[in-house]
Amino acid sequence: MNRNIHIENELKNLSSRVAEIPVQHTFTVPEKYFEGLEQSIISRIRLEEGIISAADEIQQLSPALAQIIQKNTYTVDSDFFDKKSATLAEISKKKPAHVVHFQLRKLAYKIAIAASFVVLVGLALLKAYQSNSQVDLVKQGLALQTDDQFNEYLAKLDTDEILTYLKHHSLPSDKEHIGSMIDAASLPGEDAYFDETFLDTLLITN
Amino acid sequence: MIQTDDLVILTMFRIPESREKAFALIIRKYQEKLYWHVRRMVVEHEDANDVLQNVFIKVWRSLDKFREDSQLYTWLYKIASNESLTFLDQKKKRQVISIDGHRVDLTDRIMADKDFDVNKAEWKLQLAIQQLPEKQRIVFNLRYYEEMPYATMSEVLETTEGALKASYHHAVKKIEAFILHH
Repeated sequence: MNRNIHIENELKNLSSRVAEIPVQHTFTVPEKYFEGLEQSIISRIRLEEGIISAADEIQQLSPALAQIIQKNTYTVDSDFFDKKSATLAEISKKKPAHVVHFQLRKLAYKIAIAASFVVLVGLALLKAYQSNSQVDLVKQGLALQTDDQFNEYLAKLDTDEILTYLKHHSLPSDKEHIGSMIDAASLPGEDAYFDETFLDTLLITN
Repeated sequence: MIQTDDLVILTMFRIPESREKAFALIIRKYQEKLYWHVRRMVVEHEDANDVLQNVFIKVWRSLDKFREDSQLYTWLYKIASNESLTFLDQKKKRQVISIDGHRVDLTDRIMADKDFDVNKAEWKLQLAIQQLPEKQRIVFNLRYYEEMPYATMSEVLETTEGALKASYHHAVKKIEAFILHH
């Protein structure tokens, strides 16, 4: 054994008797101990840390099954995988795969949302259009262009016809509008009206 | 600074896929040196095997925390020394001992070895080493067998170089006296 000169001299200076003793291992080690130590330590670590390979697991569960499982029961033709890969390569050359861009899908969503918005706005406008006053509709229905033409046409109509029409076609909004136009203070008092029942009775008896 | 090959092993250890492979390399590289260091302390092979396995398991669990400003082998020797001392301490507590029981026990084990020959100087040396206090024994073994520089030993045993030199000096003198008287 090649000794470090400095350390050997140090020992000689301390004790020439001890320095004379050959430096060697006196103890012996079991045969092939160091060859199996690495696997022994790694197996212990796997066991303690719960790290276990599939092979080790089946070996622990059933050594007999571990022996069987190594072999494939089924067989395929020896060139099966070569042919398969060649066929797949052929297909992939002929028909390039369709690439779907994520951006395109995003755009479709945007268009759908915009269309929905337009439909909603359209429906709102239609509703507003339908709620126009009855007079406007009559004007439009009769294709009258100005208020003067409308008033002229209205003057030709019989009062009963107008009343009947209004009774059957007036909207609640029109009634409210008319109501708002009448000032209750300007109406005649209750005394100003005849009692029609009394009047009828009086006329019949006289 | 850390050796390049140790640096490669440590880098591999930090990658989960190569962690086990790196650890196997550490075992292969240091197992013999560490084994003999432990064996000289605990004497029997079975005990040395137990201690060495514990050393490597500790290494596996704490290698992530290893700082690369010191040598890997220095760190390994530190763990191995501490584990050996802990083992001897526990063994001492388990034994029914007389005043000098523990030392006698280790001496008995050496004398029980199948190759033991009292007339051979190297076996006398082994008996003499077992007479030393445990820490002095570690210092002697590291210097005499491992030829470890005092600066490195200072890192391993966390003791000043001066104290280590003094310890080695006392150890050699005690061994010389034992050999001369037996």
